[in-house]
Amino acid sequence: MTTPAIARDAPDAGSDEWTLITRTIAGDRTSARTLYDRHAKRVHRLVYRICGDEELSCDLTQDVFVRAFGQLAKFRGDAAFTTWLHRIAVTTALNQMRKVKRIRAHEEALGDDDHHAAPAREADPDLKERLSAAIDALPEGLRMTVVLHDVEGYTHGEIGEMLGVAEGTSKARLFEARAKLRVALADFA
Amino acid sequence: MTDEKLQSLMHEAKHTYRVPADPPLDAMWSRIEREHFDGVTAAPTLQANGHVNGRARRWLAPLLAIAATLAIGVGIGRFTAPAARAVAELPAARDASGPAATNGSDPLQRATSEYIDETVALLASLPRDSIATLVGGNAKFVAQASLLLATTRLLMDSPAASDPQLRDLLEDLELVLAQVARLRTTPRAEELTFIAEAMDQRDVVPRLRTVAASLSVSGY
Repeated sequence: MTTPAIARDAPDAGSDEWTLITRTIAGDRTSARTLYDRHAKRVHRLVYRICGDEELSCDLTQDVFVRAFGQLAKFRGDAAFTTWLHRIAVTTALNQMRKVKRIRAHEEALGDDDHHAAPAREADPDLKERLSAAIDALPEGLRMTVVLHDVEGYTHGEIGEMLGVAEGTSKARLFEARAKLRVALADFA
Repeated sequence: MTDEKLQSLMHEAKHTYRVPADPPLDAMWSRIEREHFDGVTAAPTLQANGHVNGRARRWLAPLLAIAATLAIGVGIGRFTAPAARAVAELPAARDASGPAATNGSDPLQRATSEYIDETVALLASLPRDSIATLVGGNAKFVAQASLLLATTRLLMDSPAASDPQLRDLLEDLELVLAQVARLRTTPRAEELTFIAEAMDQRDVVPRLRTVAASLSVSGY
């Protein structure tokens, strides 16, 4: 039986979580279910914020947990379990979105400013909705960064790991994303 | 827009940006448990854009093959078959020339037979009043129905539709399958009931089974 080399002092790899992970690897469904119950809503919200579709989010959340349980023995505890799990979630959701983007390339280019331009103020005067539309209008890399940092609260280091970019790149993207948002919402100054 | 104002907005976005409804955790767990612990492949699902994922392609492959065969068959039929030829008449024609001569030599009828089998299977398993157990599964019905709808329309445009009975059946199927294919977002229970009533009123499934039995008796 392979046991995960989880660092005992990892942020959320407490003894309880450690026990659940070990038992899940050993095939204990109850422990797996407990882990799922603890994290599923958060994972679901994360993938929903990436893909924006309820049904797809449920599907992706299931994919995330199937993948995570399948790879649990490889979890070394270098990061918190939550971070590790959310990294799988982001990767899974992004891969799915890229497939969708390829399939729909002839219909619209996701992340293209021209196609996702925020609606005119007259059409949608609500600032929160305008903000959401402006975030959605950002190119994918910028949108992911602003969602993960400003909305989900991840650090640039964590975002860098999730997206496979340098920490500095994440910071630069956030700067650029905010600049674009300020421009998009300029008439609300 | 000042930095402060944007920062304040982004703070609010934590609670307002793409906030999902509560997911059906128990139903979702069922698939995870099946796949991880039992090694059972998931039911096919449909993606947000209406395209099917890799798992779905496994069961969609036969349907696509049927559709492709039908398309080819219809094309060939238009050039070679008499316009009045109907699928209902094909068994007699096959009898005249012998099974060996016709089995596999008429892609249109073979595809029709497979199409009817698939349609019976789909409609017979369509839930009538609740989608509670169909997380992901409703997408399966939608995807299958979309393909079968396309196949129905191909058949309606083929020599097979010159048979009045079959044409009536195809027209009813077009209506029912179009309703199922529209269940793209979370359907209400009454939508399923409405579809079930439409099927009952037109005796769709019994008529399909009759045609399937007829084709089966004739060697397909």
